[in-house]
Amino acid sequence: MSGICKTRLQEERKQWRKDHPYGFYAKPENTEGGLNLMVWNVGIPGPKGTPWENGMYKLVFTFPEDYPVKPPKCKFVPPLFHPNVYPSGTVCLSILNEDEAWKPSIRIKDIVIGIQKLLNEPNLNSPAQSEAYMMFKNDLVAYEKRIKLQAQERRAD
Amino acid sequence: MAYSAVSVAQIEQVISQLYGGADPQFQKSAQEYIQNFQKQEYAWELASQLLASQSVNSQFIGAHTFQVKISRDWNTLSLEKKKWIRTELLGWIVQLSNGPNVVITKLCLSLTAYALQAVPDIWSNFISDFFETLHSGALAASAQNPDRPLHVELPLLEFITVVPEEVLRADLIGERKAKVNQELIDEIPRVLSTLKSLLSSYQAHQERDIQIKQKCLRCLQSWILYGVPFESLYPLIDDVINLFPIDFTNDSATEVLVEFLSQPRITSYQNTVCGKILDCLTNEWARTQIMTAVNDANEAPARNLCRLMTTFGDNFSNYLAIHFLRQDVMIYLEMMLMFTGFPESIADSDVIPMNDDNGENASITLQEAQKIREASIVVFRRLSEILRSKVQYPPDNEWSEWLKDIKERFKIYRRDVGDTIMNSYYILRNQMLAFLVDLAVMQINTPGRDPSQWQDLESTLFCLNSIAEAVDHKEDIFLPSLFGTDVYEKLPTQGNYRLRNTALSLIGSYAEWLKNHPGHISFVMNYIVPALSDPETALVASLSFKEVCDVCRDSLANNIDELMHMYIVVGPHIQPREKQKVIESLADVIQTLPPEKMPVPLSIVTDNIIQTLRDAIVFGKQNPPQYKEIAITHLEYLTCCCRGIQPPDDEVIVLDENEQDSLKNVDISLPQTRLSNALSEISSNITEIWYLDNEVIECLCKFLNTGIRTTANLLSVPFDMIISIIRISYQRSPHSCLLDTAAQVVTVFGSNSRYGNEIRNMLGEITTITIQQYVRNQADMERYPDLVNSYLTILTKSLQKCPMLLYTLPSELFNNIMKFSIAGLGLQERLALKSAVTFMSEFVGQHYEDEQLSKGIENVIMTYGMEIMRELISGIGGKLPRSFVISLSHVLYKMTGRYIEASREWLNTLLSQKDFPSSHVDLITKQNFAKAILGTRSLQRYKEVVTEFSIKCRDLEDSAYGRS
Repeated sequence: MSGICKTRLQEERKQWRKDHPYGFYAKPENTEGGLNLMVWNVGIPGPKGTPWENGMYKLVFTFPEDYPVKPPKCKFVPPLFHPNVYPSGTVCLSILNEDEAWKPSIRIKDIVIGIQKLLNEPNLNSPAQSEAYMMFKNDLVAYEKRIKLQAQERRAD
Repeated sequence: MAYSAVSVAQIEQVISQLYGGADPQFQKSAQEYIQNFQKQEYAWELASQLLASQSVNSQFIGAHTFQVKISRDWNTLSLEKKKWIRTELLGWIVQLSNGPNVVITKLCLSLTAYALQAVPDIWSNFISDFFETLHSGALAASAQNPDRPLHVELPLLEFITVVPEEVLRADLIGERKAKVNQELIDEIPRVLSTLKSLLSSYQAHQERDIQIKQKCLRCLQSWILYGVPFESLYPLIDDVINLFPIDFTNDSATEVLVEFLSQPRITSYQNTVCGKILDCLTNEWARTQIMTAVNDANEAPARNLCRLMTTFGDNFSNYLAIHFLRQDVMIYLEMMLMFTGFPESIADSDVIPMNDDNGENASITLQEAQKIREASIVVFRRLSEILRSKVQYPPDNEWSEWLKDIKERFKIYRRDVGDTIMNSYYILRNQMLAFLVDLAVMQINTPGRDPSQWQDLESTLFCLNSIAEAVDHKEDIFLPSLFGTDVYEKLPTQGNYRLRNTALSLIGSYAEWLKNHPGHISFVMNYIVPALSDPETALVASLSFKEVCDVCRDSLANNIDELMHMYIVVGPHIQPREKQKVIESLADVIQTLPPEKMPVPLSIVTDNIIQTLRDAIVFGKQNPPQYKEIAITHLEYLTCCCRGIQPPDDEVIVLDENEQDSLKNVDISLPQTRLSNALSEISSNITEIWYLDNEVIECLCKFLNTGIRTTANLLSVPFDMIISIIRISYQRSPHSCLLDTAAQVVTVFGSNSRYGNEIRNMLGEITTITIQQYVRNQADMERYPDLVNSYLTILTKSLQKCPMLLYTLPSELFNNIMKFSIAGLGLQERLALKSAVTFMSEFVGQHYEDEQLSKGIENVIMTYGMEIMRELISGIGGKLPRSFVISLSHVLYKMTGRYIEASREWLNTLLSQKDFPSSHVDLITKQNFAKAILGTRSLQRYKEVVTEFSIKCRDLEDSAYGRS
């Protein structure tokens, strides 16, 4: 692990513990050798008042060696039914793309809030899976029903 | 609305209406009036006149007008006017020094807005100027009127508070940014010495003293956040600490100390700083605070203290660990434990030091380390007890009265405490297990226990669940008692659903432990299985069931009859969502059996599903909609079963010529043939009946996809059957999922020549149907983006796996494919467009050793290259959304890299056309662009050139948006 990457991730951890958005969690993976700062387990609650409500959506953030020059890879585990999530579970979001809006100053807090916002506000300009994308475009009622079902399957407690 | 000059009296009247009126409509129109007024040129003069008013509201609007106009009209002002504004603002700040805070704050914000615009040309040393102006103003005023001296400290502090904040917020660039920051850096000594002298001296008037101290602390916080070097801050720490126990300054001193302790450079001063802070946190005052809070059961007054203690622990856990035995550290830990006991406090484990590595720390001896260890175990043991009591649910009647958000907070809090418990486990290890397991045994065995009481035991099991991942899988002192007759046998099997869910979840968490203690598996399974059919516990039970089946599959396989018997009893009562998980889990276990032993248990799972599907087919022929749901549910069961029966390490591996064709060698037994025939027959019947229903076909395709493997599993539908289903169904109805199945077929079988003919025929047929029947033009492409996406995905997979099959298609078909994909590059529909770009990137980037193949591809590129290039440049030049520019540049990069001479020619021809790709770029810009991309092989540089060109073509060059 490079020095910069490690220092930054330790700082991120410290900042998160000092202050983080309500109902979210993010912590480095626990391994037999202690904490692995390069891989974080993250939980994002579904936004209130939306069909995503009551769900807790779990992700794994994998940080590359050259973080924060490059963004982490954020992957829903298990994969999520959502227009901007690839079938593999990877999130397609401009702030997570080094060719687009990623900046080293973006904090883990910004990422999780960005992903939470994306849940109920999909970006139809960058579809990542055909199934959710087509259903969102063609049949919003069925789409919402499916999202509610998913929220129930991933309910928080 | 046109405005003629209005008098100050008129404006003042509107202002008094704005603040005095009760009618919201009226206030709204007064507000609009003032906003309009602020747009006028004459508002500058009137703003000064408003500041001269006796009314605070008018003064405020006067100051606000300056702020608004400076931000909005700056570029239209003459130099003279700009200088006038500065003189006005400084003059008013001095004059109103003794006046109301709101006006001073507004004036200081206006002056900051001014300074950030005026640096460096008009006002470079704005902070030092401000200091001097205020001091000389104060001197002049007291000379004139010795009885009414001006108190300039507040405006001074106000200004130096807002400046760093505004600078951080302002998004400055270039030279201005550098100059502004230089001014701030240069002024740090002056600012901090001012703060030091104000913080350490007493102002004659008590109220003013409080006000100034509070302001100083706010100001200090603002500079810390701006980034003052730690060395400069250090001399102020004592002053801040002194203000911490004082009521009036407790809040603001807390903020400063929290920032202060979070400074990375503080570690160099660790010993001195920690001494001071610990002293402050454990002195008489702090202890009284916490005792009062505990006695009154109200943590609010001690909240700042708690926050500071937590921040301290967070940043200095190492220090605390080393000095664990010191008196003040022990007091600190004692106080932390008291805080942890508060109902609402945020328990945070890392705050309490971990001393695992103490032995390695050179500064303490092993003997000391041992003592520390013993002392810390005492602390952690108490911590565990406190935490256990804190995650306990309140009695049912109390819980039902809690508001929804309080309940939610409690659940989130429990999760956080779960982490703390695990961290404590790393210290206590077996001591914690002993404590928790004994507690659970005692709780459940208490004589005369009220059967409706579940909360205490639940909290103990919750704690055990939290440490699961850290517990040694070979542990055999305490856990056998938990997962045996002492606890699990006595757990309730009805009602008490929270307790039961926690108990069920606990089993899943200890699956690895169970694997090492197979004797306990059937015991816990007996607890899980009945819970599968109870709606209150089914979800958690099915997750744990899956976990145990997955991890302990070998042991379960040895007792497969018992497991299947349980399923026969409970299976019919499980709801579909859970049943899917159960079926997959069972298949997972069956998969580990030797082949000859698989058919019997497998048929217990599948017979019923197959029979139900057969019935659905018989009745569905007459009434498809009515039997659709049954068909879907049971197809999903088949998918789950198929997924479970898959050996865990068998990814989708692609067969090639050299690999043994395992399909041929599968020893096909009679029951297997029967199963395979049944599945083929069902699949084909389903497509006959529900071919128009996308939902059913999608479920069928998911089932088929799961079985498309190099090593066919027991639930795989044969290759020929799949191909036939795809061809027939696609002809009848344009379901994109059929194409996804086709893509899966290409991925798995594409590189095996044995399947070449069938795959080529399938590709040809799909192409003909797609292009002639469903997607005939660009409008169709926009209408069926999912078809375009799935179809182009097949093509992309074919390029990767079996390009020859594409190139040996009849030439008319092949040409249609090329035209189709080029047309895709011009779409606005993102899903379709994205797949077209992906295909083209794959196509242009093809590279083969085979000379004949290479030559063939080159011919194709020579035919279509110009068209491809036209679409790429046109897309970059503005036709396609900006978010696609980078992916288009990747295709272009491959194109110009591989076919450089031809590309030069195409670019030359295309770019010499007037207004292509955009009227915003002239010929020279276009030529420079072509030269730049042809001249670089650095992809990074290439992307920059393309992006730059795209911005120019879109005429976004001067906008921040263009660069964002």
